Amino acid sequence: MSLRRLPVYLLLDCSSSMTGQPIEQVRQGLRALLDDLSTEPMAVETVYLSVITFNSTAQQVIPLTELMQFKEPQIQASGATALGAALLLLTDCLEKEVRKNTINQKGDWKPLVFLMTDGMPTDAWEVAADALKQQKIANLIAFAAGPGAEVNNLKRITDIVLKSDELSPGALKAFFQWMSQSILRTGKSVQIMATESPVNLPPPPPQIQIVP
Amino acid sequence: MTVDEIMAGLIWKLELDYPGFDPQQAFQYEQAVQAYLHEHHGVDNLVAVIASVLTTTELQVLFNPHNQQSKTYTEAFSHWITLLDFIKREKTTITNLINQQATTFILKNCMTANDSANLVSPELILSQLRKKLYWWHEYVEHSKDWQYLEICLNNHPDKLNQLIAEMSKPIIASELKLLLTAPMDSPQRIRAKQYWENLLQYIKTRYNPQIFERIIHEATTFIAKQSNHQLPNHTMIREPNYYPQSLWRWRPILPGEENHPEWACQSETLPHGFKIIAARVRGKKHKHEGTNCDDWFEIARSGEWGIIAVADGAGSKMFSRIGAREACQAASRYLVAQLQEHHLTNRDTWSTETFARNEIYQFKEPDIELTQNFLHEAMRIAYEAVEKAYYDRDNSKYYYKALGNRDLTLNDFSTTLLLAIHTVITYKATHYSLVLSCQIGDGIAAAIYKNKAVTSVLGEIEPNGFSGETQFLTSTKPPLATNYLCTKTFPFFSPLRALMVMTDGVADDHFPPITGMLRLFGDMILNGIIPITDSVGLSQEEQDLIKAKQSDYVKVQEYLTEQGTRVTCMSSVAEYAQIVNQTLEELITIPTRLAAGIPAEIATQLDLTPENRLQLWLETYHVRGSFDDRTLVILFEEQQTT
Repeated sequence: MSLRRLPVYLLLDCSSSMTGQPIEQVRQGLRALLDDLSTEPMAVETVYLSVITFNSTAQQVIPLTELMQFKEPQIQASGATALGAALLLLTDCLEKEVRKNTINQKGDWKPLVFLMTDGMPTDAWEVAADALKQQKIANLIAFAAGPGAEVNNLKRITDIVLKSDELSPGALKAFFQWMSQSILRTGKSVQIMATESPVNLPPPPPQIQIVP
Repeated sequence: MTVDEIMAGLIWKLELDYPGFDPQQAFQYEQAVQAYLHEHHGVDNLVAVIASVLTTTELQVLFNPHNQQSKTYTEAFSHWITLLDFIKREKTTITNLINQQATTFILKNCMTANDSANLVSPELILSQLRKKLYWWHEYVEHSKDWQYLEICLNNHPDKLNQLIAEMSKPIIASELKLLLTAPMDSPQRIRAKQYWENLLQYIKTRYNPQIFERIIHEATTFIAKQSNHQLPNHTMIREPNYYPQSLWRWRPILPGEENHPEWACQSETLPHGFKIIAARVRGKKHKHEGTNCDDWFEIARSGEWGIIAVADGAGSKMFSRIGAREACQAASRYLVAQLQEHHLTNRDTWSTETFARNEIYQFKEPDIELTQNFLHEAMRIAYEAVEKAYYDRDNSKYYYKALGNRDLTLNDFSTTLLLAIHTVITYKATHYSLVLSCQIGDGIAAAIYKNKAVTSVLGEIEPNGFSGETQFLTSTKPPLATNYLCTKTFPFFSPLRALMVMTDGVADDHFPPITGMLRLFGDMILNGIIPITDSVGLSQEEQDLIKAKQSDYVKVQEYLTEQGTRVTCMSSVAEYAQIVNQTLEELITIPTRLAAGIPAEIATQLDLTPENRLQLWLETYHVRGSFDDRTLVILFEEQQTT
């Protein structure tokens, strides 16, 4: 009997526009997220976390790791916004790390992916985006942090897009808090219809709006 | 911000807000803080200490009912908000500390509540706490804990003590952490010690012994963990492979309409010495959240037939438990009526030919096909019952409100349904069991053959997809067409040792079923749930071995109940097989050998019926990541015939 995991991928924009307070807020947000999840037994038993950062290139800084063994990554802001590379890497990781149901093993819960970006992509990203949206291999939630991010681009990746009007520490912090609430809710609604999208997202905090 | 700036600002504020404030006192205070800072090198700690002092002062004002209308009260309230706003921008450690402080204060107030004129009413405490939480945390409206507190209080004002115990538990751990790790004589440590003593005193005098026990248990667990790990201040306990047994809680089901009982167990005697036992328990997840068990089962006897229905309401739907119950009851009622006088044709030979099916899975033999039709009709009747349940409750204000102001839909009653019927055919002087099962959604029906350790899974495992994705009675399109149901219907015909029907809460823990079901069956025998009357004697050598290694396969397991943590002994067939150096298959082939391993602790639980034992077992076994509701129905031959 293999463990059913809830894989959670964080795709974080670490381009140079995030320098200073924003990137510090991301570090703190990540720490708070870990603390929040660590107090919920359901999350402790099932959540596996991975962090993919992207600037001029994309890198999986933490492979899919059990919550209690997760070590905070060193995150620095610099360079461009290679969203396409990040999406390709994500697809790759989902294929390699996530277990599907087979005759002999129970698969993982459907993965949750949170994408946070504050700017325009600087590489070719469209093909990777279309592929991801089509394959339905994860529940993807995108967050346009501040005025620099193009909401319509994100809509091409997933139907669930959130945005904040400014790239403020408050908005980033709120997003991380909302993220931990979303993870906990997903872990709680054990069964869903095979065709259903993740219905159980909590309402976003005031600084963040859902893009219809 | 420098320390000096913070200090200057705070003293200025204190002078402004409290005309009676003595600057000399402020100076002393500053000296103390500076000294503290010098020792601890950290602005965070400093802010935390100052903030906690302020918190107490403010709370004193806020909690004095005589102040309600006064200017001081308004000021304290606005100060409180400003402070919280400030804190919100700081690290979470500070908020935690403030939160501790508030709870400590509340506990102290409750302690003196009876003795003084300044009686603090539960309503006042909660309304203040609510304000506090509101500003402290934007998501409090959605917090289960909060709903739990509020609803419980409305319904049981007498349970205030229990509520406070509930609230203070997470705090106890953090206070203990300080008590054990903060430097000797540091203010944190002294405060923690004081707090701890007060709390224990309070508990001893006011609480019932069970709560006391629980808190002590909490503390002991914590201390045991601490002794091996020196923790840095203000970080979470994150150990590799840490199993969060102590994080799980038992909470009663929130008061509401049509709540399901916490658990159920039942048995039914069938013809030819067969018997059905069934049990269902509320899953850890639902216990933790104070929500309902969404599983349901029905078992019945009708004429020559045994009838089993199990259903699992969708975890994502708030009222799926009603769908599960209605579906099981309607299907079972219908089958009871139809099977009462239903007899299969007398045949000279029974063989695989008897169960031949055409290309759309209809049985060629009319009596078998009729039986299949009964099952399919039962499915449709279950569907209609769920639909009716929906129409009956549509337009009800209660449901509209409970769903956050939206109308009910049929999908709110989403449930799986698994039906199985059983009868015995005596053929060539042997009992052959005929089982037909039909299933929409997950869960497993599995039969174990009588004379061999082989499982027959009555159903198909659908590969691909992720865990937790399933079909529901209300989600097939078009609903429950005959050709679709035919592909979901499976026959079994053979001498039978046991038929086990379960929801995914049990099935997923025994995956893949081809080996998992044998393990499940083995555990049933080794825990005395399926009684085996005669056991084959073991050699002295074997008996000694088993005795010596008993602690390897018999474990004391904890489980949560309304009365607190309980323990019981459970044995594991997988471990037992290793000790006696036999495969699972070998043990199952001669179950009497297996029965010889039933430990005395279990064999002597004579006051428990098999279905009670089954319920206990379902409550107890734990598998990481398994916290769903669990339902298991077992049909077996009670008197072993050969």
